[in-house]
Amino acid sequence: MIDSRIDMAPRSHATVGRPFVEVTDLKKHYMMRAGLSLKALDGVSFSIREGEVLGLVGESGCGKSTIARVLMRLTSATGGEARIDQRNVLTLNGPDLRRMRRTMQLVFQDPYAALDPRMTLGNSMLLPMIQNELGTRDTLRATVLQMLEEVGLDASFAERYPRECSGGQLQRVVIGRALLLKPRFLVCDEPTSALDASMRTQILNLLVDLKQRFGLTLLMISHDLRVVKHMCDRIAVMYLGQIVEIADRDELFARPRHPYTRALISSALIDETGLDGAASYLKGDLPSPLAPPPGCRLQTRCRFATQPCTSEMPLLRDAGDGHLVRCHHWEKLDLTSVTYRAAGTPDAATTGP
Amino acid sequence: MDKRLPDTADDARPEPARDVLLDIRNLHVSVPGKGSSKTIIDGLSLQLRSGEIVALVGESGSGKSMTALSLMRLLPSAASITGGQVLFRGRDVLGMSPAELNHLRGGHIAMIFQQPQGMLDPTSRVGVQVAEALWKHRRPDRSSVKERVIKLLADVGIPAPASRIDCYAHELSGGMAQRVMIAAAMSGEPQLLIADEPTTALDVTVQVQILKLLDEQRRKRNLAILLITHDLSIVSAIADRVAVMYAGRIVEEGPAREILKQPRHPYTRALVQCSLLKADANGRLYSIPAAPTALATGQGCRFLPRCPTAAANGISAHCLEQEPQLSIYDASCMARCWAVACNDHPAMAASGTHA
Amino acid sequence: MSTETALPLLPFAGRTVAGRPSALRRFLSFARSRHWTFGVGIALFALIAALLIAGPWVTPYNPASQSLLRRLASPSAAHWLGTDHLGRDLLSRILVGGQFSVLIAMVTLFLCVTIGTVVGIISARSGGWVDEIIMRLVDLLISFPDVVIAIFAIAILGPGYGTLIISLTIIGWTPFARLSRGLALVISAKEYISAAEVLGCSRTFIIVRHIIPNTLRPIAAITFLRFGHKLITVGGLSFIGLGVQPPQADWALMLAEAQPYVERMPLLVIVPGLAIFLTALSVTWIGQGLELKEAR
Ligand SMILES: Nc1ncnc2c1ncn2[C@@H]1O[C@H](COP(=O)(O)OP(=O)(O)OP(=O)(O)O)[C@@H](O)[C@H]1O
Ligand SMILES: Nc1ncnc2c1ncn2[C@@H]1O[C@H](COP(=O)(O)OP(=O)(O)OP(=O)(O)O)[C@@H](O)[C@H]1O
Ligand code: SF4
Ligand code: SF4
Ligand SMILES: [Mg+2]
Ligand SMILES: [Mg+2]
Repeated sequence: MIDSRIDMAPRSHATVGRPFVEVTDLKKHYMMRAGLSLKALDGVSFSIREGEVLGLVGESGCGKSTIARVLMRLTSATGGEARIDQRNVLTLNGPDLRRMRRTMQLVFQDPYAALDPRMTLGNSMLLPMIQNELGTRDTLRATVLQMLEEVGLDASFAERYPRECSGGQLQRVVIGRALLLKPRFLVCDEPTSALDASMRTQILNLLVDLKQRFGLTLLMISHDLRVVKHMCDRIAVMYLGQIVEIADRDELFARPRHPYTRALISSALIDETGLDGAASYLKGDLPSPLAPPPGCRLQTRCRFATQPCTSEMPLLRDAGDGHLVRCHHWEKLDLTSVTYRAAGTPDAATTGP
Repeated sequence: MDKRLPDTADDARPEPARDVLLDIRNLHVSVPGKGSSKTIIDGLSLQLRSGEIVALVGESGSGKSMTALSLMRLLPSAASITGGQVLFRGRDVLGMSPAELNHLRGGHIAMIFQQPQGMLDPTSRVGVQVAEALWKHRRPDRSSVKERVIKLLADVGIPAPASRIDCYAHELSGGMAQRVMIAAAMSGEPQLLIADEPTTALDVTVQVQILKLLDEQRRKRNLAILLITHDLSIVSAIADRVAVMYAGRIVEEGPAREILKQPRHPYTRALVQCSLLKADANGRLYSIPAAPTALATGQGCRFLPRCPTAAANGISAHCLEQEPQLSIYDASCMARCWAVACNDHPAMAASGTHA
Repeated sequence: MSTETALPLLPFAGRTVAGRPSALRRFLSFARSRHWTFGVGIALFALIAALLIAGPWVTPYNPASQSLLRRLASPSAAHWLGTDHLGRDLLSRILVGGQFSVLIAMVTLFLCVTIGTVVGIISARSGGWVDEIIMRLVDLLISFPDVVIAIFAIAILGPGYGTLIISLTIIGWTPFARLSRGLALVISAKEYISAAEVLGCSRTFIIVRHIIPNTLRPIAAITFLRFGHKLITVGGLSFIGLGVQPPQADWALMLAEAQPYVERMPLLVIVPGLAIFLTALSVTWIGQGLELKEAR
């Protein structure tokens, strides 16, 4: 029953633990008008072990999608290295790059945008396989139908156009299309943020299943901490082009070390902390990425900012057990207490008569 | 469709109290569909009091935005109001002349939207835009306009407002742009603010600031807010009451925290469970079965094809044959479900169990 | 591979599947969703096309046969629209006189669209200096007056239909190149193009399967809108003697020849003028109908 082209058997777990993706000091600077450069990624490093799910969270514009685009070679990097399965994908070109592309795939945020409106869903899934010379049209057609079933859709979807389907159904197609190339590394860039609550849980369940089935290594980008909390083994928190904290999931939620992480957690749990609690950790908006503050990037919004914060950029330091944090005061701050309340914080929202 | 009007009007609903600011009665909105017209708001009734935040929740396409737009008579040209009343302080908005409407919009009722940047005019300075909103309703004398604008911007927590009035919309962050929208909305000193997903496009850390701002404005001005959102955690953090919509009708309504803690309608239960993102013993997340496109068009309950309660307890004849009405189940809560309303429903017999 | 038969093999490249309306039905429902001018445009153009095709067989007289005795005759039972300054039957000449203008306009338009679209898309997808050079060439051609280009072409190639088509194509492809370049740039920024790149599709595949299909609708709309313009340009060139040569019947030429007699016989100008106008209008209306956003 099972087509040989889809490798159904979970990959051996013996290899779990080897770093499969290693990103080192990745930089992406966009050149803007008037000679300004926007440092969308300013020295990002992380690694993902084989079979692991790494979550990447952070505010809009902090560079999450840029990481995905650089890894997928949709845009060039300004510096740094990104090794996937021992090969630096940033230096590959021509046929090597095309072959490498099969190993790593991307699931987009907006499934409506990621599918050609004038192509049937079946063709959207089939033609890339033909382009990659994975088989003949006739044999691959069966593979497509099988994949549709795999992602919970029936064969009639092959005939449909994107406008005839809901967002959740299209996201299934986008995921299925990526998996047809048998990637080993899948980047999901906010795969559920265009969907509503019920669809979201369906897609997350599907991703968990498929990850098991296809033995995937996953980079899960999201701005929703609850989503990464459910999905991920480890979580990296980004702010303005830098990673400010990385830790195992439970460790991160139990003992957040960075003020920004703490703010994210309480904002996500707004129904428990209440408005005041949630709003007390940070003030103001994200500063312009064109002119990030010197020293710690969070200093304009952090209530704990003191002298070293305004002049010296904190480094990503190990707080024990691979829990990395980028803050001058991490040892002194106790961010775990839920009863923590900021009295009389100079919060922009509360000023006024 | 007219056939249905009388029986929805029978919904058990307490007589509106005196301080009701906005009273939507049995609102019907339809759009032309294939052949016949399609009803997208079907007998919606809702009341708002001054100083109250009422949240309208429901899945995408359930009709939340259409409800909001019909209150302002701003429906897209395809859609039309086919029945009901919208009483604002006792006067029917649906019968107002264009001049009266113009006075109402932005004056007594203001509205803010999901994409603040998209709603601001990219070619004029934000100060000018707030001033225009102010000018339209208050006619201050020219010399004091600038001060008033600066004060409005300061009120919504924009730091250094005097230097911000010369910015263009694209120079503002999403959070700042939403603050400007709120400032413009507040310039007419409205009594009712309709906020259609005001924080969906914003970051979580900014989101709480905007919600806090709305909450402050409500307290300070005794403002009533109709908050449209799909994020239930926002609802329990800020709203006093919540109305849950499904397929163009309200299926459950009551005090926000109570309803979200102990929802009675199967759809609300399912929605709450989805939103929690808490995995069960097998590591699975809960999701509502069946696609929303598979809606039954018969006379029975509209949620029947997807209803976990009906699936778990066997489909009752009630659910199949007659559309349930909104009925009071607790002092202040209402639900549109046979399993809540009548005691001989199988789900009641197996009391307490649900999928 | 023997396992494949176990799967339901749906022919999803097939055109019609149960549940999908046929092409005709889809066209009809599309036409119904348009402004009324769309349907009228189609009907009018169909009528004109039928008359032009049937023209040589239904003309009451030989359009070239002169009869100086019946010069400038008013409409009568014998000559429904009267006769021209050489006594030729106006109705017969109108019926055959559109063939050349319309055919030439169609052929040149086809050439312009094809060349323009291909060049525009290549320009957009190549970027860099290729794009730069092509766009400067387009600017250059646009800044030359049409007539100058036509005269050049005739000076080199000699007069004739071929020359007319070539010069009209040289004049006419540039707007399409600009348009399709713009469209291709917009589409290139769409996420499904990035998706195709990530999926390892080739550059040619992306152009042929994604960019071209998505530019076709707006380009088709503009093509229809330009048709009237082309028809009038053909007329204009014939008018100054660069196109259809007398005694061949041609709408624009008829207009030119009728000039001295406008006052005595206004029909000589009104009828061919109206013919050009109605043809151009019908095609323009079709184009407008196509251009409007698809009603969702
Ligand atoms: N092509 C580009 N040219 C210039 N700047 C860009 C470009 N693409 C992205 N940027 C900038 O780079 C920064 C990072 O953008 P990115 O899309 O990676 O953010 P993100 O974290 O994915 O945000 P979101 O949550 O909104 O998707 C932003 O400030 C953005 O404005
Ligand atoms: N212009 C329109 N013409 C016809 N139908 C429309 C139009 N706009 C919306 N609808 C339909 O009206 C219904 C209600 O839409 P509405 O925008 O109110 O949903 P919503 O609850 O606000 O959803 P969302 O959470 O996605 O904003 C939907 O079924 C939608 O398809
Ligand atoms: S380094 Fe200073 S400003 Fe930065 S997060 Fe730590 S305490 Fe806040
Ligand atoms: S009335 Fe019946 S079908 Fe409808 S929600 Fe209640 S139990 Fe479910
Ligand atoms: Mg992004
Ligand atoms: Mg909406």
